[in-house]
Amino acid sequence: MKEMIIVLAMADITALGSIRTWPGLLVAATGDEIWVRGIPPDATDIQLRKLPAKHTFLADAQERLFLPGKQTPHDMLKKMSWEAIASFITVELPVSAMPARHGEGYAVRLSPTIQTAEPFAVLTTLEYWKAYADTAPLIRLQRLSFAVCETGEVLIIGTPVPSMPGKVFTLRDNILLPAGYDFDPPVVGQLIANWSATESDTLLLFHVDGLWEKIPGHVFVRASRSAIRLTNTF
Amino acid sequence: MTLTAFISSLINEGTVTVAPAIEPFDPGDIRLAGVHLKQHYDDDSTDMPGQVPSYDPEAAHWAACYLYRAVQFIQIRRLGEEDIKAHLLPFTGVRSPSAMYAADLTLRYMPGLFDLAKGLAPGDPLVKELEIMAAQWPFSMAAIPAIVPEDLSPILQHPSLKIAYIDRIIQARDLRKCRHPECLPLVQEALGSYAAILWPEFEIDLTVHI
Repeated sequence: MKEMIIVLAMADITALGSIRTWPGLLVAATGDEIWVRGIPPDATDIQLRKLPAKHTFLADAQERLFLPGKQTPHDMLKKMSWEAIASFITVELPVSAMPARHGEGYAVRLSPTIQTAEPFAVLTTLEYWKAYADTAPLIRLQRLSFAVCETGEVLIIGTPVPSMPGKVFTLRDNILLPAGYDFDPPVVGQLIANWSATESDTLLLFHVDGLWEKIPGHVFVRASRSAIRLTNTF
Repeated sequence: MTLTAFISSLINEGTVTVAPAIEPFDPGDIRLAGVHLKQHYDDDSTDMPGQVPSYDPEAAHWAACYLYRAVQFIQIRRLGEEDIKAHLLPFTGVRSPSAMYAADLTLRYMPGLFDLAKGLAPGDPLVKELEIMAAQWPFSMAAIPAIVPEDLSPILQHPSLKIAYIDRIIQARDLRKCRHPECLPLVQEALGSYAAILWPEFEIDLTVHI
């Protein structure tokens, strides 16, 4: 005999989970029955024997079905659509009885404020920064530091903030906020400050739309004419 | 020590050594010193505001030799007034913005030389000579309060030197030089409305003197 074939009721489909990883098993559904083929004819595994089989057949190479111990065929294997047992029975993750709930993400919002604060930084372009530094008084440059990103944007920090086209930011608890804006509600600022207090020289730069960037202190360079002139982006 | 080594040590380490006797510089040494000075000009230009004046090699060479000899005269006290007049020769070219900046490459170290000369008598011929020279090169003497500039026009007529000179007198916190009629508006412009932050004493001083 070539193989063993078992037939189960569709209601017992979950019982096939115990043999799902057996190699070479094929499954076909027909009516309210499930047919499983590809089982070795001499298989006696306990997992197989525990299956709630309605019928068990042995099939030969001509796909004739024999009842166990009988020498004459009982039937012919019908044409069915066979597929691998692994794709016929997909895996589902178990569900916890009392699963924890994910906290919903809080979207940080900024809104205009009537509170005033001194500007501390300006986000501008390398071109504007170089043009400013070319003739800026040294006493002003010496109080500034800057960081440049690959796109050519420059964040300049220090006071007095240089007058040039760009976005101006105020500083509070290592958080740079767009000038004229505050967190909505303002208490969020304190929460963020507490959350980010691990690195004292790191700045969090928030944009008006609530997006933010983390800027480590080590990327800033003390402003000097040569440092600015020799800065290029590629 | 050669002139080249003197310049190199001065620029890179801020310390100098000079030969124990006044002897002419070797032509090869002078040529190599010129290369060092031009390189220093190129490097220093990146820290100057705007477009620096073109390079004046004669002025740069004169200033380097002058400083070298001046150090020698401070170190070798047996040399007399005649030697000073023979070797501390004034610049014979035009004190143009280019000459001012090229000479400044080494003359900017003159404040250190004046510190060395403090031990000399006020009437010492060397001190007199240095003071005469210093008054003619105000761009390099911005940090010496005692030096009163003769003529600021070569500086103030050049945009780069003008900004750099104002930077220097602010940096030196020299109220007298900052109150110079030609400099005061430029200093006020540099400080803008932030004088109280950048230089509080300047704002107070103006209140007193106006």
